[in-house]
Amino acid sequence: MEIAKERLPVRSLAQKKRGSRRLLWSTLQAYFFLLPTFALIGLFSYYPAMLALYHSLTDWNGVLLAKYVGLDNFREMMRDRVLLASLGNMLTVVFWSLVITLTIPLLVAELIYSLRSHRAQYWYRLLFVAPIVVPFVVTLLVWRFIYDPDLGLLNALLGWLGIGFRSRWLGDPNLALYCLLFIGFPFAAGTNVLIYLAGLQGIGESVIDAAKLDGATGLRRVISIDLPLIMGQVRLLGILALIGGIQGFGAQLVLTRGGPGYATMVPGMWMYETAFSYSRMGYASAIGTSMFIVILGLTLVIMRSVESSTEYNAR
Amino acid sequence: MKEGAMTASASRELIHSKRTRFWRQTNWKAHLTLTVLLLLTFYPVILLLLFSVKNNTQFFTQRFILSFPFYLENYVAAWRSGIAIYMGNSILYAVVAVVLTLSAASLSAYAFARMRFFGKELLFYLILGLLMIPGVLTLVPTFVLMLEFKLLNTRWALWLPYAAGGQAFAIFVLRTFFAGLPEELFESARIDGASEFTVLRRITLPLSKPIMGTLALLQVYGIWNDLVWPLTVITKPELKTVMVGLLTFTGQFSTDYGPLYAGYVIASIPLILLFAFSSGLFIQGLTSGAIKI
Repeated sequence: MEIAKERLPVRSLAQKKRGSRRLLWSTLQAYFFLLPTFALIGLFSYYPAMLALYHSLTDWNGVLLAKYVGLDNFREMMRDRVLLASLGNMLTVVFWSLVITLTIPLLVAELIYSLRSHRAQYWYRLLFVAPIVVPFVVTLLVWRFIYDPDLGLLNALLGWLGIGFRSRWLGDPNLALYCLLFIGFPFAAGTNVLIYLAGLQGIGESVIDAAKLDGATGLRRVISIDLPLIMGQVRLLGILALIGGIQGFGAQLVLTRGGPGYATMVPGMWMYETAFSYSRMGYASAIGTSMFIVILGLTLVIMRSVESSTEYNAR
Repeated sequence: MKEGAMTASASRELIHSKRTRFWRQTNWKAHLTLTVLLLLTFYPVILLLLFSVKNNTQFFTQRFILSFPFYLENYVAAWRSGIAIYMGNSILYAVVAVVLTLSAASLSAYAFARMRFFGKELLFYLILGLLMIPGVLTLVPTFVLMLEFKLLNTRWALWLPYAAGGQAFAIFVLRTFFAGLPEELFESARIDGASEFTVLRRITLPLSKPIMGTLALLQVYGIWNDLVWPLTVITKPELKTVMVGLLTFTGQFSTDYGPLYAGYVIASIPLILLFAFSSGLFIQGLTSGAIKI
C-alpha cells in the first residue's frame, strides 16, 4: 500500500490515460478473439439450455404455440410410473458404472505400472487402448449377437459347459438391465487405463522409495500412497462415470428401447421417447431439466468433498 | 569325468537359479492377469473377424471356429451396400467440426492465457459453466432450434453443435498449455511490433502441435462414436453417419451374416488407420498427466 502511494504521483496523468487506453484496446482485441467461441456456445449451448428450462413449464408438441402450464409437468413426473421405474434402473446403472470405473481400469493401470520392463509397459499400454478403434455401435451389435438366444455365444457356452440353464438374456425382464451393464466386459480397455496410468507415473520415484523404506508395499501402498496421489484422475473419471450413468441411453436406443416392458428404461431414454415418439417436448424438457439439476448437485458435492491431489504433488 | 559332471550340475544349478530369478523379476502374476484381460477384451473383435469371412452354411454349422474357405466376397457385398457413403460423411463431419472447434478454441484460449481485458474472470466462468450443462438437457431444444433454422438434414446440424460442444474442454487444455509457454517468446515478438494474432499464428500455434493433435484425436473418436444426435437430426440416407448407417445396414443384411460382419469391420477401418498413425501421439497426450481435475 505504502509503495503504491509513493509511486502514484510519479505516474503522470498522460501515462495513466495511455495505460487505460491500452487496456481498452487490448480488451477490444480480446473480445474479437473470443467472438467465435461465444457465438457458438451462446447459440448452441446456453440458448438451448435456457429454452429447456422455459419449455419445462409448458405443454408443447414442438410445432404449435407452447402453452404455459406452470409446474404441471413436474407434478406429472411424480405420478409417471415409467419414469419412477426408470429411476430405479438408473440407480443400478450409476452404482455399477462407478464400481466398474473405479476398480478394473485402476487395477490394470497398477499392474502395468508394476512391470519393470519399459518395453512391456509400452506394449500393454498400446494393446489396452487399441480397442477404441471399434466403433461403439459395432460393440453393441456384436454383444447383441453374443446374447442372441438361438445363435449367440452365451447360450452356446453354457451348452459346452454342460449347464442346463438357458436364457433369453436381453429378452428376459429380470436379466436385461444387467446384460446391458455387462456389455464391454472385462471393461479393461480404453482411455481410462491411460488416464490412471498417467497419474501413477506422475507420482515420482522418491515417494515410492520412501514408502518402500517405511514398509508400505503391495495393497498397502496402493491404498495409502497411490490413491490419494491420483485423486485428480479418480475424481475426473468418477464424475464422468456418474454423469454417463445418469444421462446415457445409447445401449437402450440400439438394443432394447427400454424394454422388455420397462425393464431397461432409464430417464434419458424415456425423455427421448416422450420427445420424439409422443411429441411431448414440454414434458421431455421437464425430465431433462430435472436430470440437469441432479447432475449439477452431485457434481458440486463431489468437487467439494473429494480433495484434489495438487496439494500433495507440490512436494 | 568327475570334473565334467561337476560343471554340468553347476551349470544346471546356474540355469535353474537364472530361471527362478527370471520368474521373480518378471512378475509373472501381473503378466498373466494382463494377458487374460487382453484375451477377454479382444474376444469380440476376433469373433467379428471370424464371422466376416463365413458364408451362411459355415455360420450355422461351424460358427465359433475357423472355417475354410474364406469368403472375402462378403467384404465386396458390404462395400457395395453404400457403407462408403456413410464413412465419407463421418470423415467430413469429424474433420470440419475439429477444424471449427480448434480454430475458435485456440483464439479464446490465447485471450484467456495471454491478454488483459475487462470481464476476464466472468467470461471464463461462462466457459466453466458449460461443463455443468449435460447433453440430455440440450438435446430436445437444440433439435427444435435446428428445426426453426431449417438445418435438419444438413451437415450444419452436426458441425455447429459439435464445434460448440468441443469448446470447453479444448479451451481448458489449451489455456493451460499457452500459459505455460515462456513469456520471453511473447515479449520479444511484441517488441518487434507483432500483433497478437501474429504472435498466436507464428509462435504459439507451431509450439502447440502435439497438444492440438491430441485434442483433435479425442474429438474425432467422440464424433465418430456419437449416435443419439445424428440419429435425431439426420434422416436422409446420403447424409447419414457411420453409426446411424450401420443400423440401416444391419436391417438390410439381417440374415446375411457374413456381409453384415464384414460391414462392421469395414466401418472400423478409418479409426484403425487413424490409430495406427497416431497412437504414439494419442498415448503421449493422455499420459502427460494434463487430464485431471
